Amino acid sequence: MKEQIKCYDTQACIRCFACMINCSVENRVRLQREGIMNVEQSVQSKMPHFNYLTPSRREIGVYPNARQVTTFNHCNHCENSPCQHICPTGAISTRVGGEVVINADICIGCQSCGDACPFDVPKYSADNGKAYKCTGCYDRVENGLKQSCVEACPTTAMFSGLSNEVIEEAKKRASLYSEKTGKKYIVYGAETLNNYVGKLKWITIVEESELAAYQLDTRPERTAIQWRDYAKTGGGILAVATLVGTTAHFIYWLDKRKKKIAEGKGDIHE
Amino acid sequence: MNSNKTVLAYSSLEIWFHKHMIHFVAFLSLSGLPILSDKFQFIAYGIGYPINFFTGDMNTEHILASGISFLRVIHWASAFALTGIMIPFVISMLRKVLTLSIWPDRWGAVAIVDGVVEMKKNYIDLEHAEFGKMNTGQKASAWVIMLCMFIIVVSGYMLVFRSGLTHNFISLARGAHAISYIILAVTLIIHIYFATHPANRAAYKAMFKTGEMDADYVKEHHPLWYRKLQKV
Repeated sequence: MKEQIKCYDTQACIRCFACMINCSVENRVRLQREGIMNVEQSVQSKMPHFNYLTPSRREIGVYPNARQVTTFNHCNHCENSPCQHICPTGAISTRVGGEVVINADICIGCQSCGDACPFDVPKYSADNGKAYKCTGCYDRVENGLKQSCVEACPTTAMFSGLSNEVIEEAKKRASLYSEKTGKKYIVYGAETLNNYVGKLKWITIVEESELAAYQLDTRPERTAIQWRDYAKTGGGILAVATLVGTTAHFIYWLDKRKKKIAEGKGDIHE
Repeated sequence: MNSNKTVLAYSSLEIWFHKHMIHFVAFLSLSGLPILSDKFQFIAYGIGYPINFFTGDMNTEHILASGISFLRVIHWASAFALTGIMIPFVISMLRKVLTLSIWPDRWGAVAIVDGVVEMKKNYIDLEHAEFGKMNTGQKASAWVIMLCMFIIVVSGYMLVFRSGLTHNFISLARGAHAISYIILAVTLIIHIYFATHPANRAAYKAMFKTGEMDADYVKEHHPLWYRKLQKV
């Protein structure tokens, strides 16, 4: 199976929030399907940690040029997935299709993933002490279905498929919008953003000047976590160097002491 | 200095604290390293295997999670216990803070260079050096250890009691916790080496047994300290 990615087209979105509703429904159906909850329980329980998509409608600009934008807080399924790298139990893995997934069975709720995620995505459930985030509907995708959010979108503002095909379509749309509006549109996340996250597997077609309005961070990072990683590498080297240095000193000390005693100078450490 | 010509190097409280500090730092290191780095996951597997053997869940992924869960409990318990024993020690040290040996006898770059030269004389040339109770290296490492411990304790409590704090803020604590520990661990390797070095057996014996050092030994190996004691 080749890498699958999703694209959100800000221009085609009509803010119907069908994506959000279908995501929530799918997560509840999963609970029913797996026998964890019955229909009534799964529908009536709030379970905010299952709200993987939390679109927020905002107004930007000043009347008469004011308009609405929809910002999402969702997992971008980063290429370098910092959440996966920091998880101490290996509960986070990348599926064959590229979806970064938390295995709730072995999540111990340490919240490291949330601390490492520059997009503030993983949600911690105090009810069961585990972290949750979008699974990219890997179960559906691996069985030939579209992600539930994509499935629900009536305007193809969300579309998905093979990485190269989706990026090609996204770039085509971006250049069309640029041509029609005279403003520069880009595909956010299609190119490597930085070493911390790499490319994204949820890309966004957006006007370049409105990146901030859509809360799309062009330098997503967690500096302290990056320093932590550097310190781990540096610390390992330093610890080995220290052990080698102390061992070398001890051998030197034994030899020097022997020579001093042989010269009749005695042992100063006696 | 008493009539038996011995010098009190460490009080009973210092010996007690140091001994328990070793236990707790060992527990904290063993339980924290598998959380810090996957290179130490073997510790978690070693703990998780018997747990899952008895619970009948031998899935490899679950073994690691069980081990990490258990180690996290040990880490927190050891951290709370260490903080507990720190309280009387810190209060006691603060009461005599100005007389502690951690302060430089002289300030400035020249004093540091002189201190390093004296350390070379002792550890490289194997000659008697002009040391106080602690040499320049020991004083530097004492400050590094104190600073790292302070950051580790504060950031550790922030990680445990994180309610209401943002992920971005907590990531700073997580970074500081790990970086301080790594610096501390390297410093402790050096500290343990010199503490257990045969050349330092008098100080080792004082720290782990009597708390006292022979006055003649102090006169010969720590002349600055000896002279200071003579003045008192």
